[in-house]
Amino acid sequence: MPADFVDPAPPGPFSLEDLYERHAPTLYRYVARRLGDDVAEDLTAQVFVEALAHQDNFDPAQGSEIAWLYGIATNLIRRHHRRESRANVAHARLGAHRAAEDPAAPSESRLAAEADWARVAGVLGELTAADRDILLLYAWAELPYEAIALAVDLPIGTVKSRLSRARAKLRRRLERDRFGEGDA
Amino acid sequence: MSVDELALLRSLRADVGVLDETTDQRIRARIVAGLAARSSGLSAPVADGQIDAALDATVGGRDQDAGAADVAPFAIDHRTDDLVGEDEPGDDLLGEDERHGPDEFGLFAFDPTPSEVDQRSDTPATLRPRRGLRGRPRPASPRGSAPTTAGAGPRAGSAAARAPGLGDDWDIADAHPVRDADEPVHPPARSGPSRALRVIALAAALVLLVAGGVAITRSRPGSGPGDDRSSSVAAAAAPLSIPDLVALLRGQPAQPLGPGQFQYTHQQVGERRDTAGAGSQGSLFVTQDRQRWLAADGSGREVLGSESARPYADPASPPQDIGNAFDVPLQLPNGFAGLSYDELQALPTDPAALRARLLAAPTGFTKDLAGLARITGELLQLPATPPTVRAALLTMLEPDGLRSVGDRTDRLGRRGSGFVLDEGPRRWTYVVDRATGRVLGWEQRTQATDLLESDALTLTSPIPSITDDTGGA
Repeated sequence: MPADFVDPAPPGPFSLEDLYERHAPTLYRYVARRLGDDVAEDLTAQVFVEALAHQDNFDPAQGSEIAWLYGIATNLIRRHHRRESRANVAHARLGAHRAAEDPAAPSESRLAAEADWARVAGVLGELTAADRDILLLYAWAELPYEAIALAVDLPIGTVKSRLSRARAKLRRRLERDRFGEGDA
Repeated sequence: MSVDELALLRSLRADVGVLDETTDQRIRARIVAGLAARSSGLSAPVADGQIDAALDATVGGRDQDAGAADVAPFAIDHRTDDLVGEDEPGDDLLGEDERHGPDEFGLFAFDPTPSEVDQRSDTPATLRPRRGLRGRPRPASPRGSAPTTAGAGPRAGSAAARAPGLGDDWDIADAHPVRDADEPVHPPARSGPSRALRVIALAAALVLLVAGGVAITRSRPGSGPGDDRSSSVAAAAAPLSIPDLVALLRGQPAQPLGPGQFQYTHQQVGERRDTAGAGSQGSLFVTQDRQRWLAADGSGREVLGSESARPYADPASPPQDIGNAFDVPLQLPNGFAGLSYDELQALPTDPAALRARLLAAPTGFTKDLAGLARITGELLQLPATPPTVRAALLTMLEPDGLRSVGDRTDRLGRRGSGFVLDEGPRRWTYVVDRATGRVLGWEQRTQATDLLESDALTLTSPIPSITDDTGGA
């Protein structure tokens, strides 16, 4: 009976059902935005499996469970990227996947949004893994700095400066990317 | 003009990852199977077949896509140890001035180590490249008439170092570009008096912005009636309606950029930055003085003053200079709100066509009403935007709820007609000079809290003008 969690959850401070109800929608959404729906399904499940399997290692005094879950997710995403060997492969695949399942003819604004995504994905691919994680945990998962710091295991000051740097890089690339396009 | 990278990023792939019921069931099944495998001591992956079998039994069928096949055994260390040392050294494309990153955020966090804060604002010669921008000392513009980097613009350290915060004693005259005797070219500084934007000065309460600049007399809240002709106008005139404003704009001549001319904008930009989490506690209000000269080909120059920060909740506290000043030559062919000059001139004057065009343009703005509201603010302020396009922008937003709300005062104390657009949880306010139809300032606020939007460019108000080439040095 997969629809609820009675048996397999080991004893511990967490109720899997609670944990899942509270965090699965946002966690799944975050992972799906990063890796696509199909991968996200499996990876989201893995996050909860790991969380439950290691719940005795979670110290509530050290931080929120949301930071803990996103920390696990971050590691799993990185592992996934390493398997993919290059983040860009995943991004490219995402684009294909999305296009394939889009039933309606894309509107002009959709095309423009996809062009924007292609540009942004290119810049994201140039960031270091840690900078990319920090930027997307902030922008997409909308975690506060403290939670990001816990999730990526870096000091909060480092998180802030890297976020600033990643944003600046993205902004400048977006401004500069259009160089020459107007002349073409 | 600027790109709102965070808003754009947030708008991207926003429709991905909705946890529907089927997916929810599949994830639950995977968790159950994964935990079962764990507890039985198996480290083997959960095969899709197991999930599908489980789903077949309960949900009555399997989804078409079995999901990722690449499921491998895990030995995840949730302590995130494997993050350590993940940073490649080649990551420093932007970080050559590493000091500024931690510094500025040290301040944002009210880090009790004030020594981290850049305190060099009193040394005028230290205008330096903003973090990540490699500013060359001289402009490398292909145009001989491009503004120069040294000397022109606000004298280093005068306008910039005093980074006018709200309520500061900001002497706008100081922001005049100053020509050095040895300048090889003239700074594109002065506009004719007929083009100078008159500053309306009245004190009041609400919204926006700041700016100062070319050929403008000093104007601050409460300044005297002799300051300019507009106080009496402001006091007497009724608020502009959208049709009034559209008619006013349509009657104005276009001001195309000729050879050797620059579009000049002088803005003060304000931004709320949250230091941790939501809410105003710990938020800073950061302002920066910005000047930009831009020729039709995108060459030009940008002079940014130091950023000035103060606690958002305490506007009376003295601002702190947090650096980030720079003065660099520009080469931005698409520097007109993300468009090239030609694209700007070719924007449709039919509202529906204009909307479609803006939604399709790779301008760096989000492809939704928020993006339209924002690019409208920028385009309304650019001197090179044809008046007919300005009029179309207003008409374009009317069906979305843009409306006239009577008098508003910008953050420089200039009185104008207010126009408001509610967009989701946000409210955009534009303050328009009643005499010229120009947008003095605009900003966006969260309606529920009346706080400035976090991380968004919130205030701008150029003193816009087209500057003439006076014939060279």
